[in-house]
Amino acid sequence: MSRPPGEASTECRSADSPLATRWELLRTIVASDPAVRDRSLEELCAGLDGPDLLAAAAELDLFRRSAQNLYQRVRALFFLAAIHRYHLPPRLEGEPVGLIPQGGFENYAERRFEEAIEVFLQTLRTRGPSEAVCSALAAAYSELAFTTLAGQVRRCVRSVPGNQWMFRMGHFLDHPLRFRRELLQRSGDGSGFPVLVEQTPVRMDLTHSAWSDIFFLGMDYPEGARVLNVSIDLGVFGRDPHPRPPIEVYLRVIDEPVLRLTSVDMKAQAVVRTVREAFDFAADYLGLIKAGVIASGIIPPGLEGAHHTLADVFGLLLGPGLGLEIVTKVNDIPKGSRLAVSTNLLAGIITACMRATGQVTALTGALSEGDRRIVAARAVLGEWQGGSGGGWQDSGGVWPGIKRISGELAQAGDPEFGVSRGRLLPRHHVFDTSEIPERARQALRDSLILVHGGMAQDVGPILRMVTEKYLLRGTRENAARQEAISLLATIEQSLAAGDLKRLGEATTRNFQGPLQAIIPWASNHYTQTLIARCEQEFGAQFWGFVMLGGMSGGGMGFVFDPAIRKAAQARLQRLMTMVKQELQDAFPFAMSPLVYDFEINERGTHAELRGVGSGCRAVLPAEYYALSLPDLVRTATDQLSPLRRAELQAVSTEIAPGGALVGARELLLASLLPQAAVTLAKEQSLPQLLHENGFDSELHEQIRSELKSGRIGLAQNRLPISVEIADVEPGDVWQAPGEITGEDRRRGERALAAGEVAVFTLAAGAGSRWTRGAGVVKALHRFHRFQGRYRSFLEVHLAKTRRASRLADCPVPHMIATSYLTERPIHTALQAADLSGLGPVLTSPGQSVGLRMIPMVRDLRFAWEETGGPLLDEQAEKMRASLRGALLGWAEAAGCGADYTDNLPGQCLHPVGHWFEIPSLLRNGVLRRLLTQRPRLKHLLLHNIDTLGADLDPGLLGLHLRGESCLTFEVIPRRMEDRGGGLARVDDRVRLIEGLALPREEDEFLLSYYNTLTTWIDIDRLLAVFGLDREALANPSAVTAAIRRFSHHLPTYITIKDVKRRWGHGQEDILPVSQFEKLWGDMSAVPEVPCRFVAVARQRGQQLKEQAQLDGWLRDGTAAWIEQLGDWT
Amino acid sequence: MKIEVGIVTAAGARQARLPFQRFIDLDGQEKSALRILAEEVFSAGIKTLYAVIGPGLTGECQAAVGRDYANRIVFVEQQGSAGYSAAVLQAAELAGPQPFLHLVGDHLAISADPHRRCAQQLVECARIEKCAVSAVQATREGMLPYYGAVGGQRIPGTQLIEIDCILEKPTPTQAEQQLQVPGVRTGSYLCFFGMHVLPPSLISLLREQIAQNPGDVPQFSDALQELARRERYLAMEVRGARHDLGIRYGAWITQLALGFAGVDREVVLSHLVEQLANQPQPGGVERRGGGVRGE
Repeated sequence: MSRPPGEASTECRSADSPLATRWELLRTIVASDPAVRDRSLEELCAGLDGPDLLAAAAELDLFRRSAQNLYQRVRALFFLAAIHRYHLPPRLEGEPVGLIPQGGFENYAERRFEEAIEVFLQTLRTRGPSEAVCSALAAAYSELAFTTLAGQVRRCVRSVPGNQWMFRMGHFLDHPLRFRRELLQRSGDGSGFPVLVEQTPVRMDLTHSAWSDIFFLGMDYPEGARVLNVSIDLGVFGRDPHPRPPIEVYLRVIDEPVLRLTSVDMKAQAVVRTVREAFDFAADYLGLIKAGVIASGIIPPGLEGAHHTLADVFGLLLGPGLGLEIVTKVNDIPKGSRLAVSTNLLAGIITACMRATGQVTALTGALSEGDRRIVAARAVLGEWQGGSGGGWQDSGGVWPGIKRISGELAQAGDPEFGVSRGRLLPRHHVFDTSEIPERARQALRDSLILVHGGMAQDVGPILRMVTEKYLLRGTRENAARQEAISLLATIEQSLAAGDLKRLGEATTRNFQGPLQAIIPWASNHYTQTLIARCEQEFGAQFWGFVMLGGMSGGGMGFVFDPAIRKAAQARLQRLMTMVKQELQDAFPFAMSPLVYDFEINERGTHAELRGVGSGCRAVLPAEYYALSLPDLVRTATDQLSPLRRAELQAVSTEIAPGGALVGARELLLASLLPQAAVTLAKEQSLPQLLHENGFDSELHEQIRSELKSGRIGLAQNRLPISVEIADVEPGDVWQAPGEITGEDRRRGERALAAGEVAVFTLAAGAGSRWTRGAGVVKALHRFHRFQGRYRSFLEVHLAKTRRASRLADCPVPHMIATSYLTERPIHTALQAADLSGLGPVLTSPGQSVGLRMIPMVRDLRFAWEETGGPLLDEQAEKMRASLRGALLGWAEAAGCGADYTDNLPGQCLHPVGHWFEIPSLLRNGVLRRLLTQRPRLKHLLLHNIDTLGADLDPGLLGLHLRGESCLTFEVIPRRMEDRGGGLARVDDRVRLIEGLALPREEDEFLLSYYNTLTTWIDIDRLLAVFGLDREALANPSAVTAAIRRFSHHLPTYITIKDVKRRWGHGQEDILPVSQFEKLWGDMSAVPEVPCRFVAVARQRGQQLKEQAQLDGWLRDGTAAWIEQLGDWT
Repeated sequence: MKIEVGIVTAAGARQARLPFQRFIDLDGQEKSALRILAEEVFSAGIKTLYAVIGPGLTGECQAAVGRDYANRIVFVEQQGSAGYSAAVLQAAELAGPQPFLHLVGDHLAISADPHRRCAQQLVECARIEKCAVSAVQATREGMLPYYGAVGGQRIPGTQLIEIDCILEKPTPTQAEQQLQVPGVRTGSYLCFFGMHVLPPSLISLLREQIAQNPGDVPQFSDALQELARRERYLAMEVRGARHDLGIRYGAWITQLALGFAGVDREVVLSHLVEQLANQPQPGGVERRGGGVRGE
């Protein structure tokens, strides 16, 4: 680069020459003129060929290394990531397939992104561009960009005045806080300390800010970061008599030098005795309370790692022998409400702790504006400490009423000045009744219905997508963002005028237009169905939809004519329940939908002091006593502290007639007695389910015995270290489409026309990564709109088969492998589906099932330490380490190798790997019936449910026919994200090898191709391999014996999978469980099975494993390509 | 600005016995704390000292201060627990409407200026600046729970700060937001030294404060904050250090500081070194003279 980009001259070049365009990339980043700065990358890259793009990338890389302005640097990083991810690969046709350099990947996995980039760039320079190295660079640039942004937010949080001291304090003797005297005054010897009760509303965002409240974005473009944020009280419709502040925090001094924490909603209690335990966030369900105590400064972050006890710390803050108790309650408001319950709970905890230590002025009542701001800053700090995310508007519940929250430009003197355009914390303008009159507020109450749709999704990937898109200034996204910003004014005016009809129109327009233009995944089939049914049922009296939070499906708002609001509330409850029942097999519902009552909270967070001078009284919530009583009654009286004894006595007084706890008698009694009925019911159904699904208890016991003795396990999955692993050589793999001849294509077309081919879709698995173990049927998840309608994976596959049938003028049969988990829902879905234009569509129910086991500690350690994947950022890594400690404790306590039964029965079972799908097809008679009906059938196309691009391509079929092999496997050139083995020469035999079987983790980097699992199967050759033929299929015992014989050729792998355990109100635990699998790719390792391999385009072979992949899949054109592969009815 | 009156407050319940605590002073003489305070005050050119003390302690105080100052000190017994502001007001009303030097009775100051004691530095500054001046000392944030602290703008090139905020025992959160002063190290704040030169206008402020909050014990720092709002009020980083007798080990630390700064420095140091050398090691291993016994 010969001159700074700002001085780039284009005088001597034509304005549209490639060189000029390359310079335009840099000019776009540094420009202060919005017209130049806001140009999109697509627009700028349009005229550049591969070499030009590589040169532009080199210039950008040089620029980002020297850029002083953080956001220019980050934008350059996102440009680089996008160039390597989206713009270069299509221009690399004809380039050789590359490898990911191992050293680079290792740096990447350890979050040393700069070093990883150096290694990848070196490979790029020496070996030339390839899909592999471009994907590696894209990943490393993207992670570096996010790390840079996160680091900046953290630095800002630390440097906010009022927060800094907490990071300086390294020893408890330097602790500068003391508790307020009012909390330490007891009215007599037998009396308790007063209880500070903080009540905090939650917040709702009426405008949806188009995610502009993400800290990075507010700091990049503060002018665009504006929301209309309302503090609300909540009640569950039909359950609670009236809305109230959902968050309650109780804080009191106790006569034991410990930190006693209780979450009433999580039904969790813990006693924290050391500073180290206080920073162990994932050890229990109380991480958020711990984060609040830390962010409040009572145990400041500077103490992290100190060896002190809390008796040391509290001795100074409270007095010798004293401690602190915090109890939280969110009134059973479920997770995923999109009302920022967690952030406001955190803010409530922080506020109570800061009041108690005099850091905010008022001990009781509301907060001053200055105090609210410092609480908000501390809430950001707490979220960072606890490893959670959140936007800058989320602590809005601390403020009263309705307010506009706006990003602010950084000024001289601010820690952000010169680094980012905006400040970390926004400005809050609370509307008074002259701006939004009472009449308008009433109109809002009368028209808006808030609901929880029942889905609890991870919005993390969406927030990353938005950040990247905004910083890239994508043409479509940028226009949509401007439209969303312009709608804010309409929404604000409509609200001020009390015109809720207009408000509903605007919020609906926002949701259906700009929000989905920016992030199509913000909506889903469930939400759209609800909206459509409301429109259908209520007609003109349904005024609109409001999306709350990161995505829809959980917390949502519906606006109605006030005349029907009451009826609509009840109807909406039924409607949601009905739609949920229709879709629950396919969508990850965490709970039953519910409707809220709400009230605008006009005072913000508010505190009072209870139990002053009143002797010892039971002033905490009844649920607290229900949790505490079992332990208290079990403990000998003389081992209880005087206050605990007095409190126990107080509870017994209060449950007497006329006492405060008289209504909670049942609850308290139930807490003391075991509840057996539910467990019994569950135990009865699991054996039944096992029996019905072909559970082999003998095999199970054998596996358990081998697992416990260490003969099998994650480490034993690996091939011996002496096995030689090498990459394939030229000639080992056909290249498609290059090696497909016209004759191949015609041969394939002829076979299709003759009815020689059927499709076999594997849809038996639980799709663990798609919903993180939620146990729903991935095949039926309507995840994307094709031809204007949400379609499921299964519908996509059927659409492709329909098209192939039409082109071949011969209906192609389609079989779907199912399991205990998927058979019923898929069967039901097929009955309701339009199957016109297809051959027979059949399910092939699985004939084997396994029972999950509690993992061995050594396998967990192996999984985390040897194959644990990339490091996370510093705080998230601490959280992960803490969580892993807790999971090891769980495995040991539950009994390693024991059956996993503490969940819904369906979640305790596991499919036994995709290899078993073919044996099941032989055993369940489906193939035999099909062969009887269609004796000309000779070949199957087997593919996984998430390989959306796999279709009956005549050229590939022709190639398979030309090869005359039993199996033809499709592989794709490896990219960075393709982990888990690939195509290799293993001791000189070309075969597929699973990642978990590779002798060394790093062997994967020797392999150029990744397995797609898509396989062309010659049926007769396969039967022969099993020692069968078509006639033998009629003999079940012969089939079973043949399968058992053959199965000994294949290894059994032990794997660790995540399983979700749901409890409480939308709460979820994700637990690792052991299961065993035999995998289809290992067929290529059996010498008797002749195999061939063909490299296909990524679009065809890519698997959609995680929802976070969807955006890239849409942006790189794969979605559009797949759309044209199908005939859509 | 003539400053001829001094006020020492030592009537608080917590500090009632502190004036009688005896120390070996800088000159090697054993004195009561009250005597040392009186010497500090009179060194600054003060003619009359009003000492506010607990009820019934006049005789004991007279004995503690010594006969030579008896006719320059007026002992004022404070009845009940009216608080610090009321104590200052009681003495100031007796002294009449004039500026006064005020010292708290539970702090002793040791000057780092070989020629001027701390009170002298402060009074000279007030005479030149013709306004209220409080002595301050940079104090680590861990000590904030014990002191009042000031925030403001430094007058370039001086040890003086134009006060715009005073907070009594602030939390570090408040201190970081309101009490940052240029030139003071991060994590330290300018906390009161227990020594002020105050104008007669403070008397009316204290009267207002007490009248507005009948039954309450008003905060003296609130009156100072109001003073800063109404007239020019400076803080001065005096050359020296204050020692709080009232905190844990306060008297012991003060004696050490007097010993190090005074004529008995070498004696004190040698005793201290001997004590350190003879400290048994944890685990029973004793170190002596650089050798290790018991290995």
